[in-house]
Amino acid sequence: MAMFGGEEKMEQAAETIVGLDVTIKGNFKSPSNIVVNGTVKGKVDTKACVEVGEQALIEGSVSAKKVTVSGAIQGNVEGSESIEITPTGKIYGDISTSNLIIQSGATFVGKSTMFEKETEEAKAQDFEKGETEETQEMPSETTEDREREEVTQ
Amino acid sequence: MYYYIFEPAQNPKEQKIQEEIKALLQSRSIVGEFVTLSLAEEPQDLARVGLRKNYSTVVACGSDTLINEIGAGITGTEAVLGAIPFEENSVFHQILGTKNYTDACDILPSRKVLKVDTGLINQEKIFVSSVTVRPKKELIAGEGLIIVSFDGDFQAETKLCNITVSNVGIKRKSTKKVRAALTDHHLDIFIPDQLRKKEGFLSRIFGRAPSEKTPKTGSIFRPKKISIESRKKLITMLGNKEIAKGNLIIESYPSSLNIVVKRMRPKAQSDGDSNS
Repeated sequence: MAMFGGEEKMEQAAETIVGLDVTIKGNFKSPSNIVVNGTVKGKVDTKACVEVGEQALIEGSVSAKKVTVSGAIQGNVEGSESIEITPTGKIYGDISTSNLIIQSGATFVGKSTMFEKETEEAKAQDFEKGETEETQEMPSETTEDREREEVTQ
Repeated sequence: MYYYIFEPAQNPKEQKIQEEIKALLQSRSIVGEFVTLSLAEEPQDLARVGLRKNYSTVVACGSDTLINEIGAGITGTEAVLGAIPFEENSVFHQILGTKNYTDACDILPSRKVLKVDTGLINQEKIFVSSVTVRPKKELIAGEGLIIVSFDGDFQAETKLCNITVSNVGIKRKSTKKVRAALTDHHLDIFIPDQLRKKEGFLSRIFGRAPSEKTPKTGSIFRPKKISIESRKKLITMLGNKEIAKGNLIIESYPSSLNIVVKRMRPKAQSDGDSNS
């Protein structure tokens, strides 16, 4: 079986593997890595990584931190960290992620939504900005209050 | 005090090993009562005889099947299972952290007790390590379906094959990993991929079962409870012994058995066994 980048390593770390001859029916949830080499008819959901092997077929949505697709997915895909479609990968559905890699030869039919990756720097900047805004708001409120008081007088 | 249960020796070699073990235990003052299982006796029943005689540790001396069955006899009680596996590649050596039966004798007085999970089949049969669920021999693997339901969430459909239901993990690489699998309150299920090699024409004509070789690749799941169903006849094997027939429900029975193991040295805990 042809292995895509690092799949062998992933299979070793994976807690759940769907083999070539197995068809899963129903919502397939796991707290850890999932490798799909067979067929899944339903949702695939994990907080870790999903690897979809070359011969795999998923008829349903996929939600994970990282999704690497070398087989076929007929459904929406959400990868909070990244989605990678390798040359043999096919996605027929909408995708949403912060980091999208589509390799030459891959098939993607659908809408893609990119959400911005929140870096540590950006988070720190947001935090600082929030602090200054708070301190600046205080005097303006006081001025408004005074104005209101003047009007009532 | 220990209640030692031996399997009837199958050959002179086994007879010699048994005598050696008895001598070893006596020389190290690990004393107790020695009994040998008779052919008509169920190992679980003999283990319970030991409990009735107020022995706190029942020691199974022999094959992995015997150790599983003696373990089943004392599961759910406060008694402790000791194990002296005869086979060098026994999974119990990995659980205990030992390499051979001499090592296994030596750890008995250490009293390091590990509370482990067992597997419960149809609410009546118990296993410690693993069982295989497979179609009856005369059926050709691949001609029929098996449906496995996991924790009531989803189902896996596969062609007839040998399914391993394990309590000690699937890829058993070290004592640490085996013990982790034994205490995680989950079962490990392995469904092998079908052999891609074509069966010979004659074996198809005469309906001979395909090779017993199990492919290394397949599906791995970690549920707490599964049900296995098929329209074809299924049997559940503990080693070479048939322990259940037909469709079944298997669940993890958490922290149900006490077993004497070797203490692991923190330094050796990396991946290798602790016993080096």
